[in-house]
Formats: sequence, structure tokens, C-alpha cells
Amino acid sequence: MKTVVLKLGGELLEQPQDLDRVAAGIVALAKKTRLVVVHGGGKEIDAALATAGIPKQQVDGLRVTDARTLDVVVAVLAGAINTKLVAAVRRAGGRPVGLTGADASVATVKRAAPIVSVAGDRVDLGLVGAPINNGAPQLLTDLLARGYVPSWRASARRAMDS
Amino acid sequence: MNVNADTLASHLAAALAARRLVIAGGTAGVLDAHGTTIGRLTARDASRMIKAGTANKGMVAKLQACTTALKRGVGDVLIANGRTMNFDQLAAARLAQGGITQVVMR
Repeated sequence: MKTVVLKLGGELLEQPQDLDRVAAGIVALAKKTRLVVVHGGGKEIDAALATAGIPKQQVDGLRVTDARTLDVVVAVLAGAINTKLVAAVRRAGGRPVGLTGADASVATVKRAAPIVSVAGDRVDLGLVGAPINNGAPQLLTDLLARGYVPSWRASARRAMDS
Repeated sequence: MNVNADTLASHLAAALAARRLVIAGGTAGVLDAHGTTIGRLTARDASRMIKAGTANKGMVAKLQACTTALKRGVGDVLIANGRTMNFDQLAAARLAQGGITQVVMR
């Protein structure tokens, strides 16, 4: 069976009615194809940053991440949003597994090189990882083969060699 | 480390040799100057929109993720409104719903 990767913007996971619709959709789609879900945080991260008094910095849709920002990103993504999505998919009758790149090193990253923005500026994104191309992650293929829906939040483990 | 969710999704799609990457957000795909959904784009069109500055900020990361995934062998990328799309039809090769931009290699 072929695989589909579904990325969900954080805005789709904020309101309970959106979350329930998305969860039902994931369950329906997972019956037709192998499915991997990846989600961001978006406004919930922005709100948590504002509460913590940390200014939001973004360039071309990419978040500039310092150490304080990273703490908030990980707390919100892993602690709140991923847990909420996994619970909703479970309620809808699916078999979700919540994952981050740190789990069994499914996605290792190296620190992203500075980017040149559309406006032409050179920007260092800070503690932002660029995924390393190192083949099909075993944990994911195992989970897919057994009918689970791996559901990822977008943070990852840094590779040992970078 | 923090990883952009569009970037991670495109990487996983490539690593798993996925036939499709679906990027679901709050807008009905990539819109033209009149606000109408563009039905189909090539990777080259996407790169051109990024360079020309016609894509808005959130869409730049999505379009970049598209071109990366396509270059690494993912079949196609759909950009869709997650609030209105029919999830269970997303596995079908032929798209039977509007409001979605399909991005293909050529």
C-alpha cells in the first residue's frame, strides 16, 4: 500500500469542532492508505510566547528560534497540541501514535544553514533543524505496517555529529 | 531543535517514498491575484512564485517544501483548506474536489 503524508497547520487544531473534523478525516483516510501525520503549532505557540513575554520572529514563514523560544515550542507542541490531536484521533476510532524526531531517532537534523530571505537578507534561524536524508526510518515503516497512524510534532533530535 | 512542520513533512514524505504529500491549512490552496484557487502548478511555477514575491509569507515555506518533496520523488503535493477538504478522497489519484492546488514535478 502506498503512503500519504498529511501536514496539518496549527490553525486546524485550535477549535474543538475543527479538531474533531480533522480527527474523523484522519481515521477515514487511514482506511484507504498508509498515513503519516505531521502538525505544527502556529498561533498556540505565538500565544504561549506572548504570555512568556518572548517576541515572535519569523522570516518567510520560518520561525527564528532562540533557546527561550525553543522551550516554549517544545512545551506547547509536545505537551498540549500533539496530546490533544492523538486523543481526538483515538476518540474517532483511529490508532494514533504521538512522535517527535527524538523517538528512536526517526528524524535526525543538523542545524539549518542561514537562509537568504525573499527580501534578500541573510538570516540565521537559530535553533532550527534541517532534516538529514538518511533513508526510511525503521520505526515509522514498522508502525505503518502494523496499521498505526504516526502523528508527528515538528521538533527533532540533533544528530550527534553536528 | 525546532523544525518547520512543512519542512519535516516534506522530508518524511521523501524518506518514505510517499506517493502524495498533503499540506492542509486555512486557505483553499494557492490563490491567484483574484483570490481564485490555482488548480495545478509545476515545481518550476512554484519556484517562480517564491522568487517573484507573489506568494505570501506562510505560502513561501509551503511552496519550498513542495519543490523539495517533488525533487526527491514524491508523486504530487496537494495544498488544501483543512476545514473544507474531503479527507477520505485524498488517497485517490484523480481529485474530485475543488479548492485544492496540485503541485507536480512537470
